[in-house]
Amino acid sequence: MSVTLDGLPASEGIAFGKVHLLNWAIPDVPHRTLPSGEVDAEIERFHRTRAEVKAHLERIQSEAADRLGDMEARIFDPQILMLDDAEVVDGTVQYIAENRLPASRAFHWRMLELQHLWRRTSNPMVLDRLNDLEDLQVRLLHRLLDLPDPQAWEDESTEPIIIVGRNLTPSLTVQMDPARVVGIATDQGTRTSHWAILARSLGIPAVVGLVHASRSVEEGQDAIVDGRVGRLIIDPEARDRDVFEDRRVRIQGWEEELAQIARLDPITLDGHPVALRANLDLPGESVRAREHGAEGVGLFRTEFLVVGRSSMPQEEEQYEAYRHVAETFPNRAVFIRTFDLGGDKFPMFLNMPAEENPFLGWRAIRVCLDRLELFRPQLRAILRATAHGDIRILLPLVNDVEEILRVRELLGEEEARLKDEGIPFASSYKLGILVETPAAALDAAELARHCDFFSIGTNDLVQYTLAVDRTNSRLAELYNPFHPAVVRQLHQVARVSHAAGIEVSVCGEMAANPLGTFLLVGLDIGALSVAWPALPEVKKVIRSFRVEDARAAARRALAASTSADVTRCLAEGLGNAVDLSAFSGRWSLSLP
Amino acid sequence: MNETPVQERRVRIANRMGMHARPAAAFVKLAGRFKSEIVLARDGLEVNGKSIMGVLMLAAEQGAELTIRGEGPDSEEALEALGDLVEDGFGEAGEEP
Repeated sequence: MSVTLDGLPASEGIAFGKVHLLNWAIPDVPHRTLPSGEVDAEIERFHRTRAEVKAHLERIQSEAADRLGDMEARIFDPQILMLDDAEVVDGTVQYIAENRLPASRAFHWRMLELQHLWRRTSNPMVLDRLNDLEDLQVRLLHRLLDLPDPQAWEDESTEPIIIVGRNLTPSLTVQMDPARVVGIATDQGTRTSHWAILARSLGIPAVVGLVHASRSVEEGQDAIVDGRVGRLIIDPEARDRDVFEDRRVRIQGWEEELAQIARLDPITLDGHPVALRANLDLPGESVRAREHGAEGVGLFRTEFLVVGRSSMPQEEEQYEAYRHVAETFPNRAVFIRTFDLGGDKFPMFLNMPAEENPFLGWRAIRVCLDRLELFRPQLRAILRATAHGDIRILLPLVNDVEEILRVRELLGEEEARLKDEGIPFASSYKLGILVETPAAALDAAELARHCDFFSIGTNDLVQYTLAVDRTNSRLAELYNPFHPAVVRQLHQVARVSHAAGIEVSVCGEMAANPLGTFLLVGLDIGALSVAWPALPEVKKVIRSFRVEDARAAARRALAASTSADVTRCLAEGLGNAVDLSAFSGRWSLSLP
Repeated sequence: MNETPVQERRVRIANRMGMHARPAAAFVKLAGRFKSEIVLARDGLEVNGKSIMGVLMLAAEQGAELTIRGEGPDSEEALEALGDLVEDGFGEAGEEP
């Protein structure tokens, strides 16, 4: 029986091979006390071992420079510096001298202390470096304990292998020969882990965040790593292998085609246009988004200005960021979402208290309206950006008309101040809300009277409708955007918007799922916004069906009684227009 | 008796990715070339500017304000070189993530 595990894609490509479990752990460090006469010799031994490991890492670094380039090789600089670092070396020597500890024990203690200090920050940048520290510990402790240098994986056969482990390190990854190591699958790690960057440079497909992968496989089992959808298939059956071979060939063709498609219009087979926009996390992504064919920005998340910061962002910095994006998309709509804080995003300077239920707590518009010293400069910065483009202000998590009225009032005050100060802005900007709670969806008719547009945020709408925490991996199966309750709300919001004569769009991962795209266009939602790398795929989907077929399928989906029925209606309606198995959606498509 | 000159310089992190591993390593390497003691401070947290462990702990992202303090015979040159390194974005201002 084959087993399929879903994680996150970290390096693209698809591979088949034999599982090799990664054997790379910190050894047990026994406690003992040295006779006082041996202390000096032990300190000597620590320095000698340190020098050996350093020489070894420098060799790996220079190999990396030859194979991958100087920039990639510099990933090893921090690790090498750590071996000479006063914090590491002096602390260890002190423990040897004062407590008569063996070097292994003293070093291990010192590293635990430093790791503890680091863990107090929640900055992902720092947490990623813990991985480097661990790698050092594995290397140094093996030598200090007179253990043989660890072999990360047995290297006897010549068959292609897939490395499976808890996590990887840059120094292990860089030594991989892509002709032998054809794939990587790990329990932890992120797309931005240093080793994942190296895997992409080496062209080795990788999947991260699989949680239990290393405990679910056995040495020597067959496995398929699909770095495009983020999937590991253990012990694949003959049918899985046929699909794999077929998929490998098709993915090549698909990728070549996507490069062409960015230049084409997003219209259905029968000529119905769809506005296709990009979701951005950083202003610097705007140029890439435009190159990928975005006709504007449907969701510009502004949390990058606050998360991980120790002080409030200044108006000037915000204005520059918003202006940059507006100027990248002249005459195109740019939806700037005001700070969506709380939930899973906590800035340091707000001192947000821990909440029992953060997703039902003090977040998004609620925080902004409570903390005007944060909100006013953002509104001012956005108003100033209206002088440079077609800016739409998007308010997150609005449930009540009062919230919109309060923002209009604040905007009025800031407009008056700008006018007094002679600072230019365009008063023709638009203001609207993210419909992302059942309350907003059910009350859409009232809210529409005070909005210039609606944008449906499906990620949160699904979570709040189904009472399923989207960050809880145990509930991943239940987080289903094709639940009839979600589909009906989408329909309701679309209908109300059309009656009120305001634009309705969808931003959220659902819009990047081929069945989702088909359904949303079928519900006459005229604008979709997706993560910019997904734009060509979504455009290809739009160009491959007729709007009449989408409308008919959406009508059938609205009458369906289960999520599976909804998915089936859509898959049948889409028919053979799109090859769903080649698609890189974030979650499995759960096709009938 | 010679008074040890103490110098201070305030800088702002310019590169988009912040003072992550590679820039931190570049900073520590450069700081190590000077005789002076180098302290790096941010919001009350002070670390040894010649220690990679310390500098990484600051987790300084783009826009963060830092104070570099040098104490020793070559502190003036040290601050000029280190401050410029930070403000020039460690030579990677336009780097993609």
